[in-house]
Amino acid sequence: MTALNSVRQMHPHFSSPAFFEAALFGISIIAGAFGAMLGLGGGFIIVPALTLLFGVKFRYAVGASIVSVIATSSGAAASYVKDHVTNIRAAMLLEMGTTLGALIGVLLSGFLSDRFLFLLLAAILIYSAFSMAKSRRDRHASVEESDAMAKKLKLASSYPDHFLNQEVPYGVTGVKWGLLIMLAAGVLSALLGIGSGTLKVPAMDMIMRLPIKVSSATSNFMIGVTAAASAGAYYAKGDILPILAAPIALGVIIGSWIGTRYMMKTHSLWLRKAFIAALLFVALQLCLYAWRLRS
Amino acid sequence: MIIPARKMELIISNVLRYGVILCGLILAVGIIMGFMEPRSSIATQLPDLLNGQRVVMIHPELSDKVILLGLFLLISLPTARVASTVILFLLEEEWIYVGITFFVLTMLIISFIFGKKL
Repeated sequence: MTALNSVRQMHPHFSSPAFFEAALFGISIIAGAFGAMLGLGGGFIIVPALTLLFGVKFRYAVGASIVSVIATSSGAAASYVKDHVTNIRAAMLLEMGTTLGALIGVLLSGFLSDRFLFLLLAAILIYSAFSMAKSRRDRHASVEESDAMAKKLKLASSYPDHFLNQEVPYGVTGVKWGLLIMLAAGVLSALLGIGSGTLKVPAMDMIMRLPIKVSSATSNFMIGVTAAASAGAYYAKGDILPILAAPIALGVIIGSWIGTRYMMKTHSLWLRKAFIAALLFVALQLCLYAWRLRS
Repeated sequence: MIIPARKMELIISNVLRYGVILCGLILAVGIIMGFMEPRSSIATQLPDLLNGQRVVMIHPELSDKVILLGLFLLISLPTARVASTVILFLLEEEWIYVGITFFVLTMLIISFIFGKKL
């Protein structure tokens, strides 16, 4: 029994497909806009909204969300490449890990209970909230010289720094650990319908020593491929429902366009604080929901 | 190389962007059709969905097929991007990366094909 069932009895409009589709559409536009503004995936909004507000089964929420992740990532891909900040080789190499992880995640999703997945999602939300709270200030020094593995793979590159007005070269290290974390990121992406950027960026930034701007752009570049690796399977399984995925994908496409077009990538402090608070609130709701599922 | 590598990546990324817009249009058309057909998913699946039930599409209406096409295209966009990158590295004779990108492409294709069994 969901909260919305009792609401439905009170307001017959809530069982109307038109209202439902419009509601999903509206929520997705907001998710897309915030995702574009904060550089975070809209996946964090969509799965909780579908499951907590509408009582949709977890797997269908994941299916709809993962499609929206692909939409935002692919729509914005050009801007990440255009500035020559994305390290495409690193992205392809690490995508070996994320795609393999995604397939493993799809396999696991058949064995893990919804209750566990709710708690897992809550954990990731909390982790993301803390990441957002502390970030920006910690800058890890990038490496001048790549390690042996990175040299062999020719991962070292440079990126244009607008403040210094020159190309800044950087080296890369920690390839094996990076791949391992990408594997985990892929598993989580498939299980929870998220982009896993919150795992990818620290992996590239802290462990592989890529400059933060490069980590950010490369992560955004990779997210679509990671999501596609699980989306294909979910599509084949029939877990991507048109009634959900269509308005949500459309809403996110429009929302992220609005987000990039009309609002600067805002580092506005209050917006981030509000989002962090929202993340924690939603995490709490997910935990409560999971606890109720037990009984 | 007629077209430098970076320019090619940019072309591919722009193809993605327009691909997304095309998918959006297809989805919009599908949704509108769904409201007009009395037996479409959009018209009929809501009660089961809100009750947390499993939802099975027995007879997809045309609107459902249109939406599924749009979704399929959308999911295929990253695969297309990776496939183009394989060709890119082939042209640049970067054999290690041909292997790496081909691995990624294989993972994506396996996802579609074995989705039912995974």
